[in-house]
Parts: sequence; C-alpha cells; structure tokens
Amino acid sequence: MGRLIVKYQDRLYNAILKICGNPDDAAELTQETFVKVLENINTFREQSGFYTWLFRVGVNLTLNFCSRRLRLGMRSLDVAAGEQESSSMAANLPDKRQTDPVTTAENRELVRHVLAALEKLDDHQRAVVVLRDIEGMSYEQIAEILQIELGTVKSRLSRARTALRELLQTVGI
Amino acid sequence: MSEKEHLEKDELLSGYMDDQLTPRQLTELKRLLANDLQFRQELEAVEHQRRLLQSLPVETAPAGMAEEIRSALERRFILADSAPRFDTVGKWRLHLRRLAAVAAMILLPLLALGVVVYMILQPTTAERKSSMSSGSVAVSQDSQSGAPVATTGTGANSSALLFSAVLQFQTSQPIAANDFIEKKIHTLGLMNFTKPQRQSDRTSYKIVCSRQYVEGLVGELEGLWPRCEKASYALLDASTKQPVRVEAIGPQQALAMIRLTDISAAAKLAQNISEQNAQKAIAKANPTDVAQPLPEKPSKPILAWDEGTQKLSADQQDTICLVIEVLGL
Repeated sequence: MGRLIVKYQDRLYNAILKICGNPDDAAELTQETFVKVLENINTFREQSGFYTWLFRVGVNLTLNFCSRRLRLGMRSLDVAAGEQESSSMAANLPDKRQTDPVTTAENRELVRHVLAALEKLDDHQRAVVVLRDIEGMSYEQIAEILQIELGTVKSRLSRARTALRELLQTVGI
Repeated sequence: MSEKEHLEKDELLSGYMDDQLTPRQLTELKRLLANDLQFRQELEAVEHQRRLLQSLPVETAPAGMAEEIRSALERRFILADSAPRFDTVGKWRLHLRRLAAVAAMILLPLLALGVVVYMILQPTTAERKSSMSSGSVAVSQDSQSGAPVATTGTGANSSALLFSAVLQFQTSQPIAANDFIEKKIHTLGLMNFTKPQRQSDRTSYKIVCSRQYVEGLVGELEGLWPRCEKASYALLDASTKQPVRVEAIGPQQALAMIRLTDISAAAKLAQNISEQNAQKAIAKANPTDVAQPLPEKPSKPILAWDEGTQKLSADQQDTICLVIEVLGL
C-alpha cells in the first residue's frame, strides 16, 4: 500500500493541482483519492490499469469539487488567490539551469501566465489539456478517465487548445 | 474564414500535435502549411503552447502525505469496525419499520373489509346459530318407506337438541292442506316462529317456539287429518341420532307425543303408538283376529316421569322444533 502511494502520489497531486489550482485543495483531494481507491481496492477488476483507475477517481473527485466550488461562488476568490498561488508556485520552484536572475524572473512570469490561462479554461477543458499535454496520456486513457467518447476527447482537446492559445495570445505569449 | 473552417483547422492542428491524423488529413495539413502562412504561424503557436505546458514545473506531493493517507485509512477502518454494528441495527429497524408499514397498509383495509363483511353476514350467522341451538332439522325422504327422516345438524349443539320432530302429511290436495296449515299458523300468531320452505312436491313449515304453542297448533290441525291420506310422525332421538317413526299417527297421538318433554319417554311412546297402529291396521284388514279395539290414546301418556329420568329445566322444556311437512300425492 505504501509503495503504491509513494509511486503515484506526485503525479496524481500534480495533475489535481493543475486542474483545481489550489495546493491545499489538491493535497486534500489527492489524499481522498488514495483513501477511496485503497478502500475499494477489492472492487478493482483490472479491466484498466491501476494508474488509469486512480486518475479516474482523482480527476472525477476534482471536477466534482470544482463544480461544487463554482456553485458556491468561490471561483472568483480562488482565481484571484490562484494567481497569487501560481506565482508563488513558480517562485518556489527554482529553475536550476538558470542562474541569471533576470531569466529566472522571466521564466516565473511565463509560468504564472500559463497557469493563469489554464485556470481560466472551463474545468472539463482544463482536465483534458492537463491529462494530454502535461501528463502525456493517450486519447484512450483520457476517454476512460473522463468516461467520455474518443471523438469527444478529440474535439474537446482541440477546443481547449484553441481557447488556451487565444488566452496566451492576449498576454503576448 | 467560416467558423466551421476554423474548427476544422484547429482539429487538424490538434490532431497533428498528437499524431492522430488520417492520411487524408495529413495531406490537407501539408497543403495548408505550404499555402497558408497564418496556418503555419498557428502551428508554431500550438507547438510553443505545448512546450510551455510541458515545461511547467512538476509539483511534488506535500511531505507526509503517505502517512496522512495511512492514518485516514486507519481512522476509517476503526470507524468501520464500530459503525457497521449500529448501521446494521439501524438497517434492520428500518426494514422492520417498512415491513410493518406495508403490513399495516395491507391488513388495515382487509380488517375493515372483514368487519363490513361480518356486519353483512352477521344476521345469517346468528340465525344459523339460533337454528343450531334450537335443533335444526333437515327433512328428507326415506328411500325405502317414503317416510320422513329427521336429522340434526352436525354442529356441536346437536347433542343439546331437546325436541325435534317431523309431522308429515301425504295428501292429494296439497294446496288445500297448505292453506289450512297456513291459516292455523296465522290464527295462532306463529308467523314469526315459522319458516316455510316450498319445493316442487313438498312444503315444510319449521316451527321453533314454546311447546304450548306447538301443542295448540297441532290441536288446531285436527281438521287436517280427514283431508290427508297418510300422516306420519318422526321423532329425533338426540342420543342415538336416529328418528323414531310412527306411521298412521292420529291427531291425539301426535298431541301426546308433543306433550312429552323427555326424549327417551317420547321415543318409547312413539314405539308403543307405532305398535298399536300396526295392530289397528291388521285389525282393520282382518277384524276377526282382534278381540278388543286398542285405545287410541296411550294408556300412560306421561311415562317419562316415572323412569327417574332427570327433569329438564323450564327453558329447555319450553322451546321445541316441529316441522310440519305436506307431500303431494
């Protein structure tokens, strides 16, 4: 059990954080995901990989959380806080290759803009972009995790990328 | 460029990024790249965007997450150890409550229906009970002799039958005979105690009332005898449940039979009368064989009290059941 957690916790936490945008919420959701999965490990039928199953539970919990948060009107506050957190996330992650303070600051600024643009996407579009472009999952895996058709994955991904491109272009990236 | 063309181009770009293009789409993409500068720029932007996303810092889970997960799981297991007991009890109670509610929903209307049916059928049942207690008599024709056979119901009260008898008339003028009987019943005010029953070949009058009234009625029926070809009397002996038959009974003999309150004495008397009537019949057929005519009345009409038999209570003595039956010849 411990090995499973250690093996997947960083990837799951990273994906959840990119979708929900808040480190505390991401930590809580990751923990909840593992608890739920390990509690129901007996029901795992190995029709899909454990990794896919874990992500399906995690991403669904996160999307539910996001829609609940949106319903409660906490989104605007989170976006504002998220922007700060994005910058703080970027600030806390030093790029070891760069030693030039100017370049480092520029990189942080870039990351902040990308994360902010990502947060502005619709939850479901953001999830599909995170799973494909950040986690590098196949269309089939994404379809299984989000429980949608393959064609829906393609069209949703295309629209999400277009929307993200437009958002980045507005900030000159 | 139309919205549709935009979408198609976006899908081409997106598919190209993921190596998901069909050969035809790939050809189209190459054509666009060769001829459309804007499309080339868009492709570069998409590639750049992807590089940006892939270069985003990978966040690591907070330290101690594995421990927290383990603790959370332990907490849940501990709770699960104690909680299910209550849950199960709660579930059972809930099931029981549901079951009780369903049972109540089914049984209450049934109960109400039962009460209604009981209310409707009550008079019939009461009547049946009354009939049982006073000694119900079913009259049937003996297949051999054609004489009436009286039997009681099979109920528990049949043993308590005090006096049940059938007085049967066979006549070629049944209408006149019935008319006569009905008039007498009416005159004596016994309509409420009489239950007439008409069949194709016979009419019966079941009279359940005090012995005094029955005596009065039988006395009044004396005028019926001349109109009838045959008169017979059947007394049911409750102890043996066998009827004691008296053929060719006269009106005074019938009265004497009814007057007797003790069933065994009445049975004995019935036997005596039966023998007397048989001798009478022989005497009629052969007048020289008989020296003296037999008295019509029994010599000792109230034999029952001499036998030391137990005297019945006034109430028991009072109510008797007599069935008067008229058969058409």
